[in-house]
Amino acid sequence: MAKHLLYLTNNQLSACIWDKGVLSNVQIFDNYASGWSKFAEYLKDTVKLSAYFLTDLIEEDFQRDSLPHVYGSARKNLVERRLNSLYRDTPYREASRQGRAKEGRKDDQMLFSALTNPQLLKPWVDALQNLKIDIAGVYSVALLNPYLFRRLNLGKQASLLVTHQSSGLRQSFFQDGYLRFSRLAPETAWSPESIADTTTIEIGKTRQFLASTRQLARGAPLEIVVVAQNEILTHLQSRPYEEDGTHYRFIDLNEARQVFKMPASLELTYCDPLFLSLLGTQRISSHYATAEQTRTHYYSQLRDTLNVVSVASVALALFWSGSNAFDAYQAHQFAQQAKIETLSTLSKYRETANSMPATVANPQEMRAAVDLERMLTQNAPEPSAILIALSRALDGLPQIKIHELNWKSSETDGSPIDPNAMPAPPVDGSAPVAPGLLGIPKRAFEILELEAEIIPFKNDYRSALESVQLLVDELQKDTHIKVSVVRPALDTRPSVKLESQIGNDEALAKPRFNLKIIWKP
Amino acid sequence: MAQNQQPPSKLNIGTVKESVKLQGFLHEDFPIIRQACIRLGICLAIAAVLIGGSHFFYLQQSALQQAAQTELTQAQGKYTYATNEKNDIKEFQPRYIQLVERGFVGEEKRLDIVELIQSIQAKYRLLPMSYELFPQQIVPIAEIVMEQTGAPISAGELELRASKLVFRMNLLHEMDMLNLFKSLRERGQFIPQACSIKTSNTINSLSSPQQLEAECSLQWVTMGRRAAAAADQAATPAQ
Repeated sequence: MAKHLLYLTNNQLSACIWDKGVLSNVQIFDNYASGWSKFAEYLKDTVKLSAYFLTDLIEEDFQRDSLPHVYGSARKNLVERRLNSLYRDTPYREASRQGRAKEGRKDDQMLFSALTNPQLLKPWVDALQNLKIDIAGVYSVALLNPYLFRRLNLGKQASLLVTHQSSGLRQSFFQDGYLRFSRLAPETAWSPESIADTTTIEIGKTRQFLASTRQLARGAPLEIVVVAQNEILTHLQSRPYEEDGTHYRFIDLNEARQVFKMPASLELTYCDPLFLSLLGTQRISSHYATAEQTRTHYYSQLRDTLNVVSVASVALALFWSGSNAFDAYQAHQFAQQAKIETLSTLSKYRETANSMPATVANPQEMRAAVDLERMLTQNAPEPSAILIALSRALDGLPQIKIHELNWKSSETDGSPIDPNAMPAPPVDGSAPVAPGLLGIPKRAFEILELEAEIIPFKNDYRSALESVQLLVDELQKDTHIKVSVVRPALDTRPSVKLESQIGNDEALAKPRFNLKIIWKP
Repeated sequence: MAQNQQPPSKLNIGTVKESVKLQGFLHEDFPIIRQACIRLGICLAIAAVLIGGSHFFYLQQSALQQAAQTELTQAQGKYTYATNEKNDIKEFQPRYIQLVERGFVGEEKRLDIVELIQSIQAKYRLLPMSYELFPQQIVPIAEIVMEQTGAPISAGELELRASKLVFRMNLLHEMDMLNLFKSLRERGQFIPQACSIKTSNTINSLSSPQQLEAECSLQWVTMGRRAAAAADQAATPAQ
């Protein structure tokens, strides 16, 4: 998303557009009446983007103090009261928490800062407000330094970050990773060598200031990080530094460009673009925005959100109605297709109805009658099959004479049924006819009970029993037949009583036996 | 001297502040979002019209599609029914006519059966026999499911009937009984149910061969029109 970035120094204001990682359309305006009017003209011709106001001014003050550790409105009131007492004359003021004291009440450590000369911003802010251009925030290069500090991976030791800005030399002192103070020395030299000289002098002054304010003891370790153009760094590196505990680190602007992933085509002379890119790429809360600016910005953001919702609602509606239209089109197509098929089917129906042959009965009834007749013909019980099987078995056993045969069809396989469960059938033929006995829907079981005798017997029970067993074996060769001996010629089972006669007339001893033959379909 | 003091009138400071806030909002802040609000309202209205209209159109088309689909299903049903009916007539009518002629479909012709038994006895020179033909009964087949199709038997206005036929006779050979059954089956659906054959205890003479005593029951199965349907058919004049 494009951003309109404004960079204000004591001498001038630079305006540029940040879009997709590129700073473009840079315009510079002098901090005089002519520059202000040119800026107003420029704003009229520029796209109405929210303005991000970055200040790099000498008139910026920093105060460290502690506040009781409280929350909510109490904390807000405390901070407000302290800011009023410190910076009564400026609306551009800020307080940030920097950890807590390690001893005592463990108060919050606070850094209060303010742009002490609001008149420097007024003409520019007025020009923006006259054109109702939203100010997204008023930022300070000094307060953006912690972001640069983190990007450059500087540790928690005491560090002095020196950046060469278009407005001069900015020195920011960090301790425990927190910004303690920052100062801007105005540009007084123009050649790399003289800038290097100035840098050395200004660093010396700052060290002296740190020692005198007891922020850093003399000889205490201090890392001095200088971010500047390569030519300036070359001169700085060539000088001997003999101070105890001081460690220098020089960062070329080209190296910083890589850290910030800025395009190689952008020529860096000062550190200004690094801070502008921070504003361009990150969402950073405003440092010094007034309540009015914050409110205006809130409504501007709300306006943008409403616009996005408007577009999204129309887009969603278009998509939804498109989907509905597609479904409706498909339904219409299906309906048309169905109508064509209906006409075709009705035409075929009329043809079929017209060519319907004369019928003697309802086709459904005819079909049922034919089906049932076929079923009966196919499934009806037939005693001949089981009698033929018996006859064949008896062909090889002439000693067996049959006395009685009882054949019947059955819906069950002859297993004993509880006589109480079934009512006794009436003898007059009025018992309901079971379709299963007729072969509907499948063929019934057939049961043949026979009573026979072994002749001649000659009191030879062993032969008689063998003859019966032979008959059983012969019958069971048919896989559909299952034979059980109901009454053997002589019951030799140990569990039942054995009764027989001996020494009497042979005619009295009749080895009769009963078989039950079940034919399964 | 006591004086009637009027209570001090209340100062609506909070209400005044709220009023000022509201005026500030209306004059300074709302203009920022006024156009966006109007735009949003218009867009929401357009969206509602688009969605509502297209949905209404879709519902209309969907209803038309369902109606067309129902008509198609009905037409297909009619066509399928007519086709099946035509096929059934072609396939089953010749056999059905045969069944009517053979007596399977229609009222029992008991006199024909009496004559048939007489002719069978004469043909096979069977020993004298007695028989009983019991009253006709309806065979319940409504709940029977066809094994091949899995569908219940639907006989329309026809019903399956059976009459029990019991024979008592003497046999010279068990084949006499089987021949009787076979001859009956050739003329109708006579389905054997039970048969008891035993050697005869009575000996007529030394020269005659040993006889068998048999008692067999069969079911004479026919199909006929239900009583109510038959009455309706009789009442309806022929067209």
